[in-house]
Amino acid sequence: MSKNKEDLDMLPEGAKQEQEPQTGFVDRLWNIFSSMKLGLFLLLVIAITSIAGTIIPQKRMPQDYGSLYPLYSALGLTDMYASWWFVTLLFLLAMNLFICSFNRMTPLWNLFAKPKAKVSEGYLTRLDHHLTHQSTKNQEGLCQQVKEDWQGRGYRVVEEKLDGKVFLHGDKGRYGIWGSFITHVSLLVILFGAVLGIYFGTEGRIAAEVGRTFSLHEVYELTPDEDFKVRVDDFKTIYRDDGSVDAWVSTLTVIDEGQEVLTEEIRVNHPLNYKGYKFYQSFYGSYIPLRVASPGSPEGVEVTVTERDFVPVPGTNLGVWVAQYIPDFDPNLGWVSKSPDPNNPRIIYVLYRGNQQIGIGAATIGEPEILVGGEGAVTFLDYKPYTGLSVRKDPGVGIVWLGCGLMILGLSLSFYVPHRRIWAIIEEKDGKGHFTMGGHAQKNKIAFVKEFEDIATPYARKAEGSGTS
Amino acid sequence: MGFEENLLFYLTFAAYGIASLLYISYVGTKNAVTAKVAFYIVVFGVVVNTAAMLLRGYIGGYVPLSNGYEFLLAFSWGIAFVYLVTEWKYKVPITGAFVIPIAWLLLAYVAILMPVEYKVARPLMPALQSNWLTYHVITAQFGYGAFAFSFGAGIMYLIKERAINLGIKSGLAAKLPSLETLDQLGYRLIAVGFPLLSLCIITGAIWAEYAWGRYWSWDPKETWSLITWLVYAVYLHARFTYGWRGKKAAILAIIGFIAVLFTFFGVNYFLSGLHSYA
Repeated sequence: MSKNKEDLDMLPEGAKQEQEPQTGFVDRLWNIFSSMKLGLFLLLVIAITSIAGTIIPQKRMPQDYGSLYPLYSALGLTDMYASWWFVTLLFLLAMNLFICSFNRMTPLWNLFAKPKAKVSEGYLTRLDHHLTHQSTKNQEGLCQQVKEDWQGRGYRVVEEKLDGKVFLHGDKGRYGIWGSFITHVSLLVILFGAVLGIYFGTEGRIAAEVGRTFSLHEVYELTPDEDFKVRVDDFKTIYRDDGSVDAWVSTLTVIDEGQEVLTEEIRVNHPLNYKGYKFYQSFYGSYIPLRVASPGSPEGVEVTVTERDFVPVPGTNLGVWVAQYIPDFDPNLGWVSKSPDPNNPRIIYVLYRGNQQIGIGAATIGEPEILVGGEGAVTFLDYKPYTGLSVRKDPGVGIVWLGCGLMILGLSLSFYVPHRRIWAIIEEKDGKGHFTMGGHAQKNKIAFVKEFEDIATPYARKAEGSGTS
Repeated sequence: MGFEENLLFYLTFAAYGIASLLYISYVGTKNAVTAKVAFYIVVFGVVVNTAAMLLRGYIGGYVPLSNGYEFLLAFSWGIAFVYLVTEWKYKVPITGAFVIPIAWLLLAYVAILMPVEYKVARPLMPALQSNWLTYHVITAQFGYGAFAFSFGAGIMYLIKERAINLGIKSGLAAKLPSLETLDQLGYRLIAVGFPLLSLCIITGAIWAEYAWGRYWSWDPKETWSLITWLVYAVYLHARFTYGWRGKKAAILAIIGFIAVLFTFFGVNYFLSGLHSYA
C-alpha cells in the first residue's frame, strides 16, 4: 500500500515551491501555524476539553459546585466555553485555518487554472495507474487521437511541447479542487460571525402584561442602539382538546417614532424581527394583585402574587395557595377551561390550615371569598397575564448562515466532485508515436480504476498496475 | 400504543433480528442463498419500519420524529436503509452480520428498556413544532446510518487484521473481505455521513435560532454532536495528509460511532440540557 500524500504533494516534480529556511520571528510563527499537525492537535484538544464542559454543569451558582468551586472557578470550568483558554484554543485554530488556507491558495489556483503538463516519465510510472503504448500512427496522429479521446470523455486537455516531446495533461472535476479550501474558509466565516455576535450582539428579557407598552431600554440586560417601542396587544395560551398546550401566542405592535409600524403574532419558533431586533416567545406568567383580610386586620393587606404562590392569612393559621387562573370556568370541568376566552374567569385556590388542605374554591375576580365562615377573606383584585419575551440582536447571524452554506458547498465539492488527472508523454520513435500515460485520483479511487481502464482500452490490452492504493 | 403500532414495531424488530441471525450464520456457511434471503428480510424490515413510522405520524398527527421511540425507529431505519444501498452497490453481504445487529439492538432497547411514557404519541410541545426539526432528524438518521456501517467495517477490519498478524488462515477472518475493501468501505460511508452530520448540526442550529434565538448554546447534546464532527474531521485529515489507513482509520471510525451513540443515548442519561425531551 502506498502512502497517500496531500494534493500538493501530488503535483509533478518541480511544481512545488522550494521553501527558503526562515529565521525571522514572524516567519517562524507563520511556519508553526502552517502546519497541519498543529491543526489536528487543536481539533483533538478542543474535542477532548469540550467533553469536560458537558459533564460539569455550566453557569450555575457557586454553591451548586460545592467544595470544588474554587478549583473549577480558577480553571474557568464553570463557564468553560467562554473561558480564556478555550477561546484561545478556538483563536489558534482560526489562525491555523487562515494561514493553511492562505498558503494553499496559489498552488490550488495554479492547479485549477493553469495545470502543468510537463512531468517526468519516472513520475508517471510510479503512479498507481499507468501504461506505455506503441502506436502505428506517427506522433502527431497519436497526439490528436489521445486529445480527442480524452476530450470526448469530458477531460480538459492542456498541451506542452518540449525537445520533440509532447506533454498532455487532462483533468476532470476540477471544481473539486476547491472543496476542502472552501470548507476551511467556511469555518473561518462561521467563527467570524460568532465573534461579531459576541461583541456586537445583545440580548435581554422582559415580562410585559397585556396592554403595556415598553421601550427597548426597559428590557432587562439589553443594551439597545435603537429606540422604538413595543406594545403587547394580547397574550393567550392555545390548548388542544386533550388539555395539552398547542402554542403560546403574543400579539405585538411595534411603535417607531410614534407611528405603529407593524403588528404581528409571535409564538415559539416564529419570532418577530424589526430593525435587527428579534422578539421571541420565551416564557409567560401572571401578576395577581389580591387583598387578604382577617378579623385582626379588617382592612387587609394588598400583595401581588402569581400562580402557585402561597399567601398566609395574617393572625391565623390559615393560608391560601393561589393555584390557577381559568378563563372559562365550568364546575363540571374543574381545572380544565371550557374555552380559551375569558367568558367566566375564575381563580382556583386551595385553603390550608397549617399544612392540612381544608377546602378549594373558584373565586370570581373582584369579589371577596369568605374563608371558613369569616376567619379571613381574600379578594383577587385582578388577573394580569404577562408574556415573557426574549429580545435579541445578533449582527453576526447572517454571516454564520453564509458560512454554513459555504460549508455545505465545500463538502459537496470535496466528496462528490472527485478531481481526476491523467498525463501522457508522447514521443516519436522510428517514425511511430510512442507514449507513456499515467493517471491519479485523489479521492474515490475505486471508481477511478474503472475510469482509467476505459481510458486505457484503446491503447492496451490491459493497463499495467491498475491496483488501487 | 395501540395494537397496530405494536404489531408493526415487533415485525420490524423481528425482521432485523432474523436477518441478523441469518447474516451471522452466513459468516459460518458462506451460503449465497442465506445472504439473499437475509437481504430480502432486511428489505421487508425497512418496509414495516416505514409503515410503523407512517402509522405513528397518522396517529399523532405530526411528523413522527419527536420523541425517543420515534428517533430510534428513524435511527434503525437509517442503518437498515444505508445497509441495503451499500450492499446493492458494493456486494459485500458479510457486512450484514456486523451492521444489521446494530439496528436490531436499538429496537431491542425500545422493546426491553424503554419506559412506556417515552413510546406513546404525545402532542408536540410548542418548541418542537418546526420543519427544521424534521430536516434535523432526517439528516441525522441517514448520517448515523452511514456511520453505523463504517463502524461495522472498522470492527471487521480489526478482526481481519489481527487474524492475519496471528497467521490464522481459516475461520471467520478468512471469510471477511480484504483489508483494502474494508478500509475503502469505511471511508466511503464516512464520506457520505460527514456532510450529512454537518447538515444535521446546521439544521439544528437554524431550528434553535428560530425557537430560542440562539443558534449555538453549548448544551451537552449540541456539544457532543460537535465532538463527533471533530472526530470524523480528524479521521479525514489524517487519512488525506498522513495516509492513515487501515488500523488507525478503523479505530477512529469506531471512536466516531461511539461518540454518535453517546450523543444519542449518553447525553440523555448522564447529562442534562435543552434536548432533555428527546
